[in-house]
Amino acid sequence: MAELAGDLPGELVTEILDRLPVESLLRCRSVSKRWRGIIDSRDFVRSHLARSFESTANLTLFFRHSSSLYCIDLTSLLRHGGVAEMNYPLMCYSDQIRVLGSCNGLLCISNAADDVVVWNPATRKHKFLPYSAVEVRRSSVFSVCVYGFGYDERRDDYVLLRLVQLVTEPIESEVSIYSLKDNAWRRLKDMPYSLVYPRKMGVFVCGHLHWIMTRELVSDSANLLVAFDFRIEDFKVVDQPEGIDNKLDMDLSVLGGCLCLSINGNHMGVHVWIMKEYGLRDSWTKLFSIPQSEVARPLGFVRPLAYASNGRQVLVRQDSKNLILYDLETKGMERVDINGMPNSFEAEICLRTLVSVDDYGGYTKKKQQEAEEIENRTKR
Amino acid sequence: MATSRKVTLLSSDGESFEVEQSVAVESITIKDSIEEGSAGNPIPVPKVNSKILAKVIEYCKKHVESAKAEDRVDDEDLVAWDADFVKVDQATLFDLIRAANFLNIKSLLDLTCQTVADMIKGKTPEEKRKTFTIRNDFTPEEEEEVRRENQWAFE
Repeated sequence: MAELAGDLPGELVTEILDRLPVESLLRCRSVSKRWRGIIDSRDFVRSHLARSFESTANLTLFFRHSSSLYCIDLTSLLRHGGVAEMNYPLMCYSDQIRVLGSCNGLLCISNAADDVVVWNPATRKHKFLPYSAVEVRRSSVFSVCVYGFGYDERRDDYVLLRLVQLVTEPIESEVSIYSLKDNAWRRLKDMPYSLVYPRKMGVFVCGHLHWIMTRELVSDSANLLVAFDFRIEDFKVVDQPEGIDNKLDMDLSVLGGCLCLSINGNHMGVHVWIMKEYGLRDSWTKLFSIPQSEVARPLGFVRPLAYASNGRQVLVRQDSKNLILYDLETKGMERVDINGMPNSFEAEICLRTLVSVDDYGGYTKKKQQEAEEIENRTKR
Repeated sequence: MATSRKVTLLSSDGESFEVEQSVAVESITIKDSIEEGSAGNPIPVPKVNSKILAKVIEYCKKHVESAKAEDRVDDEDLVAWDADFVKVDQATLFDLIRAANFLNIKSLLDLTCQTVADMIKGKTPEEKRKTFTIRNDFTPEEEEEVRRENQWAFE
């Protein structure tokens, strides 16, 4: 009559495992060899990742304050849980660490010595990047260095983009890209624009990394929304919402997979726009506004982090000091107080996934062998 | 016009169930075979016995009815109804998973798989093996090593 559950076919075991959080899955690896095989397989990691995007139940909020990193699960945060301090795989030399970006559960961080590590905090695996000297530095010249971390879908590869810019005439730039798969840096052609904000990392949305840039580094120059496209490995300008004043302070972020633009205007407060369909200018929609009294001027900003309550509320970082919950329906704001929160902080949202930092070695080698075989065959 | 059409489903142990076609086609498998004209009457449903088929039909009926209702309030009621629906013994739950998979009823598969996932989330590996009646094929040394790879997850 009722078959034993043990006879459940692989695809149904996978359907069930697919719905488990990472921590449970790590424990499930010791149930049996078959289960370990399923959980470690690339297909499973991929399907589990795809499913993660559909829920808000496996997001971690990371807070960085000087050289300390704290984390809290988003659901816990909304229930007034406390933060925990997190050990990270970098020497911090009691100096600042920087969070360079996060993507699909991988966090990229660096320290004062410019050591860079790609790290999956959920599986606690990490990989150090090889060192890459900056060629364009000149002594006694002020330079700016920012990064952007993202995923190249076409190559199934995670990449770190580094932008270095000398900000004294003649303005020079250096663009380098690191591929996790190749474990190597490559220099690309210089960027045709200048960075406006010296400390803002790139925002990854839809296969592109975004920064606010400008054509001429003079005061009162127009801000451009610039995207680095992984496919063509080049920069292009993205349309801003129509009718906005592009000389005001701007900040970029990502919310629910869509690009967000915060504009801090003269006395009009901060307006947050969201591009509902990437690349479509008409899809820019004003998401919400926060009155000037609630934000510092100048350079005060409001950065959306994540949706809450099924999209009815938005968790927002305000001026690096506060977390607030903005209710899109009532337009009300509520401060979120968390136990153990540092006074000032940077925040980064990160998924909890099984994505691996170091299973590319075998894959690349196999591809190389296949490529060589094809070459040999065509030579004959 | 076609809303009051009825079809008959035949379980693996020979019991007949007459249902509205709109309910039966919640199963993509049945829907496809009706559209291809290969269904026959009654429609045989091998692999699914009468006890499980009755439950599946109950689920589909409820969901088809709820889809017709306009109120958003029904959403929460439906979630509560679903939660009660899966309060069954483990063997029945696994049978429902198999049936939902065979009959290709996505929402039922989601519901039942999520239920099992939630059930095993906090369990130890040994308890999980019991739930799925799996034999532990690790040697004690191998199992210890796998545990050590993710030691913190066990604390």
